[in-house]
Amino acid sequence: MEKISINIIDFDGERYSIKTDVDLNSNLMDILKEEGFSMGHCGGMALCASCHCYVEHNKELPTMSIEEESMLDQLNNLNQTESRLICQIPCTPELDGITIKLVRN
Amino acid sequence: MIKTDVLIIGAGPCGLFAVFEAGLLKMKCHLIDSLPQAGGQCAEIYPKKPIYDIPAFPEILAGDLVNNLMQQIKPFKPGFTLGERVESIEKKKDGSFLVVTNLGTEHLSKVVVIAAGLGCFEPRKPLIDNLDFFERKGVDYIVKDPKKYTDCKVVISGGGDSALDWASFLANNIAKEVTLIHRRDSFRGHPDSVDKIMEMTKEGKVNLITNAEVTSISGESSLSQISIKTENGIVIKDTDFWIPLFGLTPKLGPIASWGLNLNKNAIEVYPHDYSTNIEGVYAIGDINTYPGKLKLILSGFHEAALMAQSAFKHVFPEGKKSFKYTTVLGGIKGF
Repeated sequence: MEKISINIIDFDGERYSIKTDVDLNSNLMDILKEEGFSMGHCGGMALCASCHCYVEHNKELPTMSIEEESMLDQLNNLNQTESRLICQIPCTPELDGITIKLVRN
Repeated sequence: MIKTDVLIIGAGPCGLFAVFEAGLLKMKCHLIDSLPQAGGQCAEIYPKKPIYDIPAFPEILAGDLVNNLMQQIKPFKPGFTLGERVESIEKKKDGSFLVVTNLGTEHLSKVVVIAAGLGCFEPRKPLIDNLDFFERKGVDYIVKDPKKYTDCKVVISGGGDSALDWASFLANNIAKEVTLIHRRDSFRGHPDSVDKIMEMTKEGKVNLITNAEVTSISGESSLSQISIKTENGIVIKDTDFWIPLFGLTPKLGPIASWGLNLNKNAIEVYPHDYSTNIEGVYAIGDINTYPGKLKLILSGFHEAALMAQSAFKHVFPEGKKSFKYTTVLGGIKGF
């Protein structure tokens, strides 16, 4: 199975990389939950913002749904260019090299 | 003081169904929830989302599931303390529990059942200086009793459904003046709610300020003034209340300090009856953990049933429990 590399910057600013399988049924929130981060309370419906992260990537990410925009709109720590609910980003090959910065929500 | 047999912390689906299972064993229940309405996540986060894994319901909206559960437990006349968060649980010498909320409401119960799901929903608070000081002194994060705002000046912040709905509700013959402030110029709430606000703005019932946000609040003993950063500079506005509605986020909260064995923010339970390390305290639904735990509503229902059978001994130490199917006695009135 094809693997992609994901860079994570945790709450303490520590940066590390993980390798994960490309899997369209899985998303970045699932991957970070497996890494032990507490998120995904609503199960990945863009309804709780527990998976809000700052995402840096040099390739285009999936377009935001109205639900995701609406939820992000309510957050105090919104970053207009990097904020995403990562439950809405499936694990596609294009994500290789993506950087996810954890945010306290 | 509210006295009951079984005190259920969390009025989500599992907490509600626990009333039914306890009721069949003639145990009286009272529920506490930090949200102003019953239903937990199903009512607060996704009432319009269909659920597909409730037995015998090929598809049911989360909100309808809650309504059905409320109807199902109605014969057992449960009590409710809503819009209050449990702060402390104290075990008395006689084995009963004194449970006190953040507003000081006291409950005395023989058994405590924690069905708190993800914890309690807490409001996302805006980053404003002195916010803590004005909480409940003009700053509210939930609308518990709309009558409180009668003939008052109210400012609401937010762009979601709750901000839109409360703005239109309070502007209809309750508050003296309603101002709605939103960071953007478009709303993403339900189209009907957006249309209603736009109509009320045209009619002068709601003051709508978009591309703006509250930057500071002030007052002496209570809130009296807010500063709003708008496209045209800072606007100072007199107000009695400010209700920032930026959604809710679940937090484990005070549960962590009740002396329960925790594992990754979940309460460890014995899987034969979902009892905790504290005799008389049970945990059911998403808040608990045990080997093989599945966070599903249907698992929580099962846990509620087994919990009730076990809790019986604490409520009726001398009582003899007889297990009966609901079909046997011609409905729940026979129980």
